[in-house]
Amino acid sequence: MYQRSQQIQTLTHNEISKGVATEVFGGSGSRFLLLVGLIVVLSFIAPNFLSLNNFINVFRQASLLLIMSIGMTLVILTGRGGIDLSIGSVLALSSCMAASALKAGLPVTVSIIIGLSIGALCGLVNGALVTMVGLPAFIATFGMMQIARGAVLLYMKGAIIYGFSPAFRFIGAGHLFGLPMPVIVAGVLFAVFTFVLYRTPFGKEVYAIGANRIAAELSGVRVNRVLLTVYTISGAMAACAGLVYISRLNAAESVIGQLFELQAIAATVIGGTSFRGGEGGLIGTIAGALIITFLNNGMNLLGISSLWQLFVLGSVIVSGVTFDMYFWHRSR
Amino acid sequence: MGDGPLLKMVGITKEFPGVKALKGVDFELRAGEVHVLVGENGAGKSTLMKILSGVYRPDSGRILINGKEVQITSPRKAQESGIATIYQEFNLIPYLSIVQNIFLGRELMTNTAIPRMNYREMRVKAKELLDSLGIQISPDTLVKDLSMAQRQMIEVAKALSLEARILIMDEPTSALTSREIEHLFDIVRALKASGMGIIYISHRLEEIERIGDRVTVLRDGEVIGTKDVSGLSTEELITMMVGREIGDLFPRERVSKGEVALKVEHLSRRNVVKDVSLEVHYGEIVGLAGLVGSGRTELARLIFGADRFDHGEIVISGRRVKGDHNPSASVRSGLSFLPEDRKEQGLCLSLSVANNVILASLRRLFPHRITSPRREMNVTLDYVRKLRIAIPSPFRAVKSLSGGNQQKVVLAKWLCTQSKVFIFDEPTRGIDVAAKAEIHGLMNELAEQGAAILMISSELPEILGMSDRIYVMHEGRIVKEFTRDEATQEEILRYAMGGVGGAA
Amino acid sequence: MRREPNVSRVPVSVRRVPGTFYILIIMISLASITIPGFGTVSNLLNILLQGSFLAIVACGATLAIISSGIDLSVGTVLSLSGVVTGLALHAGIPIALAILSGVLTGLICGIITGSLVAFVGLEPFIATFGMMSMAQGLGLVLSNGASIPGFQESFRWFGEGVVWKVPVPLIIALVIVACIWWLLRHTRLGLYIYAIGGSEEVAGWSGIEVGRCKLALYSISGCLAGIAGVLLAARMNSGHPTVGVGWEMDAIASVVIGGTPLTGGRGGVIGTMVGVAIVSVLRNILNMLRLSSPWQITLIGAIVVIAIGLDILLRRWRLALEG
Ligand SMILES: Nc1ncnc2c1ncn2[C@@H]1O[C@H](COP(=O)(O)OP(=O)(O)OP(=O)(O)O)[C@@H](O)[C@H]1O
Ligand SMILES: [Mg+2]
Repeated sequence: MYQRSQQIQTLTHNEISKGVATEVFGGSGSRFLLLVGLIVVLSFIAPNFLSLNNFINVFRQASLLLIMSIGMTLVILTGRGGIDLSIGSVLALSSCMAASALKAGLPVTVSIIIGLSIGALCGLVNGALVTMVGLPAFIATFGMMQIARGAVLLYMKGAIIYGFSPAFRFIGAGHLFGLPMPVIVAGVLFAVFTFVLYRTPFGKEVYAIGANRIAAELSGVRVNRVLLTVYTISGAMAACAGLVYISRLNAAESVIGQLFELQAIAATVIGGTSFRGGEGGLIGTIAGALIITFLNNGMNLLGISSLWQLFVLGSVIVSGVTFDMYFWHRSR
Repeated sequence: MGDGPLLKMVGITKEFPGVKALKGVDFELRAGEVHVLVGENGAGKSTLMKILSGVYRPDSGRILINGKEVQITSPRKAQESGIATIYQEFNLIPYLSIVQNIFLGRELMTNTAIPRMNYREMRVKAKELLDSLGIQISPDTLVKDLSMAQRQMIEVAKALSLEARILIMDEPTSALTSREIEHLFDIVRALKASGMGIIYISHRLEEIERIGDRVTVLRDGEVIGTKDVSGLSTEELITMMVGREIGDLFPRERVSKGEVALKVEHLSRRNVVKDVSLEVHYGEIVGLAGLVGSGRTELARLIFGADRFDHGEIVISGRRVKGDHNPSASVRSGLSFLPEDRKEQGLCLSLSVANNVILASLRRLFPHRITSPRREMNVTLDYVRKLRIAIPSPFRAVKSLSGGNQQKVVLAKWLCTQSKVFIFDEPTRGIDVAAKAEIHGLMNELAEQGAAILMISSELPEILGMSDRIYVMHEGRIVKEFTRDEATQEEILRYAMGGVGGAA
Repeated sequence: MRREPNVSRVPVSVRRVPGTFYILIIMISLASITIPGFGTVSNLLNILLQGSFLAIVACGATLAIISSGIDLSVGTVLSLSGVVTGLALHAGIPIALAILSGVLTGLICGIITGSLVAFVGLEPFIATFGMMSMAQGLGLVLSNGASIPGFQESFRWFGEGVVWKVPVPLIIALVIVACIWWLLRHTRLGLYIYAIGGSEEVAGWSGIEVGRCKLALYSISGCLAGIAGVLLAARMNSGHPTVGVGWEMDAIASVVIGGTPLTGGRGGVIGTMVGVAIVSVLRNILNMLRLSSPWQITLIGAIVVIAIGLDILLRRWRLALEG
């Protein structure tokens, strides 16, 4: 009886788990090694690096970046120039609105809902411009970046809102189970969206759109609806990061969040998500966000002058990813 | 040709992660012969040719041209060694013009002080080439505006422009209809007479007798044998290829047909589809024949909602299609459409086989909107077995599959929807004989279970063998309807060419 | 010899005037009617002069984007080369050599990013993001975070001088734009950049040395940023380490407004110039209206979105009418 040598018949439970794991980690697994390498090096050269406090501190800083990068990862995964430049401004707009709602005496939950809705609405408008009008994402979100920033500047007129109620301060500065709240918020959001991305039809559709938009459309995927959702999520995530941010600072002003979009994009791309679309994923983004934050933290601990910091950041990122490419992806 | 072979490949091996694609292959090509390479999907034909054209490096083995060993380290080296390739997957850049694509990498420059590209001369040469191939398109047309068949012919033109000694043709006819194939064969014969060595890959076995001199059979990365074409029977060849007898190519028993599943009336779109009316019943397979450019694909796209129509009416399963007609609505109402261009329209190449297979059925498989890897894998493996897709694992990215296996993945995607109405545009393009028989069997099974199938195919034997009724299109119109018993190859061709009253 | 009317001599992809050109015309006409002083020769020259620097930088960004890459480093490389030139001049190095050092700085930065993209296989975003930080950092370190002011007259001529009433930076920008246009339209490298943007795999199969082309285009982009940096230093009479912050965004925006999609493979430098003009005219109008900066920021966003959105919608409408 002839049997094709390459024909598979069944998969064991183990093989499925392994396959899913490789799929979820994608090509970004090696970026975690990069992260570990960075931590090892820093623990040798940076004083006071290896302490629980410092790590908690880094995680707290990284969580803000991670929350924003969740939305960015989804957007970039959809490919064809998918990008969201507006998150820094949307962050400022939505958190300032929430802050003034708080100041006006509205309950904390209502204020939070206001902030999140404004973020989501900005994202929805981005999505509508991209899908219905057909603007390139770069232009649509660039426009939103300007408009949201202008709006918040006009609204705040240079004022600073500070001194929030303890209830609101809890989400940025509080602790739960010994962990800072920002870390918990980021962890929960990350878990939720990882589940959404890998265990729901929506997640599969995001990847399909990124890999080949035409094929996805011809397979019955409602491309526009998925894109609208993705941009809305990105806006909401920016708002969420903003709320955590002002809660921790205990103040809100109109100039916060500048260049945050670039950091979120960098975390996403360093985590292995590609602008080609459909390649990469959320797991890598954690590595990306942590690499950036640990680097900044290490340089501060080492007392590197702020003039040098940018240079070191750039060269470590480039050489790290180069190293990674060279040792792990050479067979391409 | 007394003095030695033109090309000799000795002991070629190549391994991809998890797959031994070639296990010590010897191959030989003489000047002035057409050497046909056949084998099942995934046998390693394309891989062997890509090694020859410098896309892959072999793990071991030697390549000799005219008895001298050569190192083919890059596509450029291959070109310099006189090897031209027509790849199985398209090798053209959509936003460049035909001229630019044909001469890409070998542009002609002017002799002026500051050299620049000599588009004038390239255009003249391109025009000559296109004329010699019988293509009447302006050489300045962008490739993205061409149909599949036209792109295929541009590939041929590009390869010919190299004026090589060795020409590799990897399934050049899979997107062509008989008229272009005739033309292509004339050219192949002329090239052969001029002393060129041609390696020809095809799954259409009838082509082998027509132009082949020798045939080499590859199975699972090994050479089964090389034979002269004369005196070799098709059955013998198939046995060599698949290692067993295969069933009837066009197995047919027909149950009685049911209600009307798909009804199209006076459908028009601009100048491509003109006043088309047709009907497909449940339990029926209807063939749609016609030359390339006759509007078959465009008609299918209109029915599916991929393009908008100007006039007319479409009724799917008794429901009239309204203004919001679009692919996702069609899929939801139980209509499936397998597009002809698998790379551009059928597959998410960078995603896994499993994710491609379930893409059109997410809603059916996971009504609670939570997916389960186990369910995904079981469903996928079901179709992997049914269609004999050769993969080491369903997690493998589709882009690492052989062409025919990719086509099977697209088929699996649509079979998985369990639709009631199917439109198949060239469903067996690039699929080997054995698998073709199985797919035909599956289509019959579908029809027996009551599905309605509209099948576009450029292979007349397939149309004739599979269809209960046949519509023939010419220049956007349906010019003739045949019943199964009336139709013959000659009659269909006559109508398809516009020979009978279809000139209007 | 009669030329066939239908047969063009150049690739169609390069030839088309982007739809946004009409938006530019409308913007200019509206502004000259409603804003006193906008339509004067001196103001228009001023817009052109302001736009020259962006035009040079955007040329490089265009090459990167057509190849379906991106160059984020142009802004900070521009600053860095201004700083290097300033240091060189203050060190008493002859002007020609100082200028050369500035341009070379840009070129070296470009060669580094180019090699990272071409031979290591880094995503262009990562490589150029890294270069963006490195160049910014290096500029800050070299200048100690402060600007380097005060150059001799003969150097300042490159920024302030005029030849037959035409500002020198404008002349240089025009020459560069013409060169890049020629490169894209008439040379192999140009064609290959389009081909790589269309499909890197196919380009490689056709025998194109993809790596070398990428190296070349990022080097050109870096070199152009260097030139712009030197000219800007001459114009402002100082080398400033953060002068280029945000220029990469303006450059990329100009390219995209000019009709080159971020996915690459088509578009061209003429479109980019329309984009540069739109950005510069917009800035000028908002300045002349003496709007407060928040309003300026808002309006830039709104106008860009509305203008390009309208262009797309109108085109779609026209297509529907034709069909
Ligand atoms: N880039 C790749 N990565 C991994 N595996 C590959 C790659 N290319 C080919 N293969 C595997 O090598 C084997 C041979 O593939 P090849 O494309 O040569 O088959 P083929 O004989 O041309 O089949 P077809 O008739 O379907 O075109 C297949 O199992 C395929 O999955
Ligand atoms: Mg093949």
